[in-house]
Parts: sequence; structure tokens; C-alpha cells
Amino acid sequence: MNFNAMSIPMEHIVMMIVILLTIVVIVLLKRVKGFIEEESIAIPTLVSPVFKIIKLMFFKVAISIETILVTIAVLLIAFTVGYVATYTYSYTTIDAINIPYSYSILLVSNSYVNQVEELLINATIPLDCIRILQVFREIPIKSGRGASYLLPLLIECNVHSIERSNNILIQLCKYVKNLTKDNVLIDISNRDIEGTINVDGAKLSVIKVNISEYLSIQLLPGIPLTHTIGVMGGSTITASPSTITVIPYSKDFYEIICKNECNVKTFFIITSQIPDGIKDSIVKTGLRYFEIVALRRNNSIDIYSRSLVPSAKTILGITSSILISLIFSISISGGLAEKVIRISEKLSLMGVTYDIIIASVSIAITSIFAILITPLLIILISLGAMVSVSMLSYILSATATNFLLTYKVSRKLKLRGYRVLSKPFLSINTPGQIDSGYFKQIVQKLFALDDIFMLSEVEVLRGSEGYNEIRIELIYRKSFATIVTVEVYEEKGKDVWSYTINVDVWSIEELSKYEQSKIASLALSKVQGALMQCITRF
Amino acid sequence: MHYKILMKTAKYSVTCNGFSYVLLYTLSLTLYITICFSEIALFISLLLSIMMLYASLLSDRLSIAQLINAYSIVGLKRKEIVASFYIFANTRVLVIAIAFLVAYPSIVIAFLTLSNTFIALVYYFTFRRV
Repeated sequence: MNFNAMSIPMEHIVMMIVILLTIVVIVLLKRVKGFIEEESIAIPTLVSPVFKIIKLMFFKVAISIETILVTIAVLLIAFTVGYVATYTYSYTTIDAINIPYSYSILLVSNSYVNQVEELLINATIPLDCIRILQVFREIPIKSGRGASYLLPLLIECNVHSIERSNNILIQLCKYVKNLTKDNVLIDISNRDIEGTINVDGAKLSVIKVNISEYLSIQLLPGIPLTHTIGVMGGSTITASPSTITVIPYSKDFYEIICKNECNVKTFFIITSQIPDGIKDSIVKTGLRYFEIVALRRNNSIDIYSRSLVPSAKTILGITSSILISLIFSISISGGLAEKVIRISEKLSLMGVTYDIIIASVSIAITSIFAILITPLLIILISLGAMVSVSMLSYILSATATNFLLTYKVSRKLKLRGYRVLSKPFLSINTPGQIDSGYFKQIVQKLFALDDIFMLSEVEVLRGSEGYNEIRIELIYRKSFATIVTVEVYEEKGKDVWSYTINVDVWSIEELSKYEQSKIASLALSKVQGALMQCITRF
Repeated sequence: MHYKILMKTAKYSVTCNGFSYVLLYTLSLTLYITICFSEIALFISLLLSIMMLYASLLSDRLSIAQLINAYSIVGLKRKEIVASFYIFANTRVLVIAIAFLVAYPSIVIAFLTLSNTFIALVYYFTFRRV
């Protein structure tokens, strides 16, 4: 881990100071400005009530501990993923039984690459390497038979043991090493040129050798040693060996040939054996300068290209980050839903529908994530982490979290919602008064065998005006310490007796309103049954 | 009696909703630390684990309140109630600690210390007055 990267750069400090100074100046200006004598008349602004509701929901959602936890978790994970993400170079392996073993590593570039030997290879190990430059510039030749051209192939050999090797490229080097500065090689099949050629003012003497067998080899399928003129039907057309001139590489001569701009293809070939440990570093450095790096194995060639693909590690990291943020949001959504439901119950009285509440929750979560993207970016860029992977992870987890939280909240809202259940209450009218003693007996008989409620107490109280008041206390069996109190009030109208049943549920447990009202309705139905039994006795 | 309380609380902690989230989290955290191993990832996963612990306690807030109510009605002393809350939370801490044990065993003690300090804070600020 690089701790140096964590120190705050000087530019940031300067920027902070400038911002602080600006704020101070603005505050001072406001104070110094003084007062304007005539007060401006306030123009009434029209604010949509929906906007106000969204604002209210936004603050309720944004300031809740649940949202803060989720956002911090998503931020932290995104940051880490960016920090540990790695890439690998894309590569393929091809079958190379038909390609003669002429190199251990081949680097190909479509431009001129100079002096990379020191970067590629550790100086302590002397390595044999060959550099070949295919210069795509025709050198015009005038001869007795008419005008023709030559394509230059610049070769530089750094090979130590030429004599012993039977490598085809090293054998080509044998010829190149023997050449002096003013000599060029031309294949024996070229009969047009004799003596000397004139390249931009430099006179070069021609040596004719049979080099066609060396020039016709393929380095990789589709990449020959000689110049590729074109491609037809999937096969490459190469320049014939007779039009090629082999010139020993020197920087001066290269500049003579390529005065302004010319197309050059660089091959850097390492012929000596390389230990496996160094291969990776050669591929890594090589791809900075070359388009293709090919590693030769016994019967196959690994070809690395410059395009980067995220490694399996990165993909799994992103996946697990999304998983973690989803788990966070699932575990937290319950609490958030409770908070939203608490306000939505009040809002529902003003006629706000589900959809507006859910939409505003979604907007709130989205905007929190959108706002926090800026500090994340600043931190990531200042630490030099991989911003793209971080952003990908952040956006994916934020979307997933938003979706899940909104879904959970909307589900909870619809399930138990703000449908305010009416308090269990019942009024029964009869022509005659019921016998309170008989009612007591019936209640005792009814609840003796009941499997939902257990009778705790039943008492008949006589009020001052002669009316009875019956109080029944029941224990709900299915839950822990839940008591239901049923009160039956007796009243007399003109010529009817009216009995009003009120039910109250009291519990140690944190029962929801829904559960409470269900228990109360159950108790109400039982007591109503008992009352009806008394009435129908007449 | 104490043994019975311990077992009942641990069992209750496992059956509550938040435990399944902790279990899922532990699985994905194990995956995460073993794959993306670095000092920063370890430090952040330590923070995340404590946050996850808090999240799981938040999701079981009603159940914990009920547990504390029930214990106080049964007649447990205040100290015993605090201890039972510790057992409730530590059942989850132990599950998360498995992830660290798999990936980086030497950090487990740091995690246990940190999370237990955090549990004390949570009890003090959230459940003390229940």
C-alpha cells in the first residue's frame, strides 16, 4: 500500500484556503452593506404542495440512521473495490506446431520503437535480441531495364553466440553482422540492380546473397518477417523477397530514410531462453510500448494484446460489494419503513396517496446517493485508485439499494399501511333488561372451554342510577402478557335498553395496531355472542 | 438459572430476523476478504462488520425491547438484563468473526474488542430506558 499517496496535495490546501477566504469575504460584505430604506415587497411564490411533501419526506428519510448506515456502507465498499481492483491483459493461445522455433518472446508495434532493451530486460542477464524495422517507404531505383523500387528492412542484431545456433533468425544475423555501414543485402533473385544504389544522396554498395528463405518465414500466423502489402480473402500478401533490401540498423540511416513521416513496423525479438519469473514483467512493460507480445512455448504461442479486461478478482469484488450493500439495505429497510409509515399516517389524513409517498422516498434515496458521489470521486482521484471500477460498483449498489428500499417500504406501507382500523365498538338494543347474573354465568361457561381467551375476571358493577356496568377481563392465550378488557355499559332509552360493548387491548409485547385490532374484534365477537344468548332467552 | 437464561437468549437471537442477515453478510464478507485482500479492505471490512452488527440490532429492535421487557417482568436484575443483551449481540458477533477467522485470524481479537465496546454504546443509548 502506498502511504505517500494519502498525503493531501498542495493544490487542495490552496483551494480550501481560497474557498474559506471567499466565504469570509461574502459574509463581511453582507454585514458592511447596510440596510436599504424601502423594503421590497415580498412576491408570493407558488410552491406545489407535492413539492413540500417531497421535501418533508426527504428530510425524514435523509436524516434517519438507516439511510446514513446504508450510504456509508455503499461508499466504503465502492472505495475499497476501486482500491483493490486489478486488470489483466487479454490473451489467446494459438497452436504453433507448424511455426519453427525462432524466438522466445516477440514484441510487435505498428510504430517506431527505440531503446526499450534496458526497460524490458534486466541488465544483469545478457540476452540475445534482434530488432527489425519494416519501413514502408519505397526507395526508387533506376536501372537498365526500367524503374523499380526496394523496401528497406532495417535489422539490428545483439546476438552473442551466432556460430552455434541453428535458429533461422540468428543465421540471418550472420549476414547482417558481416555488413559494413555502406553495404546493403539484396536477394539473389533480383536481377535489376547491380553495383550501387542511391538512397537520398547516400551511395550504398549492393551485396547479393540468397536470403529469400530467411525472409519468407512467418513470425506469427498472418505476421511475416517481410512487408505486408495487403490482405486478400483472409490471407496476407507479402512483398516478394526480390523487392526487399536488408540494411543494418543505424539511427542516422533510419533518419535518412524516414525524413518526415513514414509507416514503420517494429519487431523486437528475444531469442535466448528466459526464466518464467521474468516473463510476466516483460509482458507488462512490453505492452506499454508494443501492441502485441507473444510468448513462445513448446507447441503453442501465448499472444497478449493491449486491451484490458477486469480480472476475475475485480468482478467477484464488485459482485460481493453489491451483495453486501443489498444485505445492509434488507436488514435496515424495516426501520426505515416504520419511520415512513409514521409520517404517512398523518399525511394520509390530508389526502396524500401511497404513490406520492413512495415516489418521494425513492427521490430522497436517489438524491442522497447522487450528492455523495462528489466526495467519493474527490477522495478516489486524490488517492489514485481505479475510479471506473469504484463508480461502477457505487452506481450498481446504489441502484440495487434504492430499488430494494423503495420496494420494501412500499410493501410495508400497503400491508399494514395507514388504513386506520375503527376501534372495536358495538351497540345492541333490546326491549327488555338482561339479567346480569345470568350474563355472568354465560360468560364464565363460554370462556371455560375457549382456546383463544382465558377468563381472568368478570364483575358486575352497579352504578348510582341503577344501571349495570359489566367488566370482563380476558387473557389472550396465543401471546405473551396480552390482556383484553371488555366493558359492557347498560343504558335506558325511552322504551329500549341499549348495551354498548367497548374493547381495550393491553399488552407488554410490541403488538402492531393491526394485531391489536384483530384481537379486540375476536374478543368483541365472543362477548357479543354471550350477550345475544341472554337476549334471545326472552 | 443463569445457564437457562444464556441458552434462551442465544436461541432467541438465532431465531430473530436479523440473524439471517448476519449469516448472509458473513458469507459475502468471507468471499470479499479472501478475494480482495489488502490492508485497506481489511480495515474497511472491520468497520462494515460493526455497522452490520448495528444494522442487525436495529432490525430486531422491537424483539430486543420485548426480550428486555419480558426479563424485567420475570424479575431479572438489571445486571442480568445487560448480560443477556450482551449474549444476544455476541451471538451475532461470533458469526461475523468466522469470516475474519477464515481470512485473517490475527484481527479477530481486535474485532471482538471493538464490537463489544460498540454493543455497550448501543445498549447505553438505545435500550437503557426500555
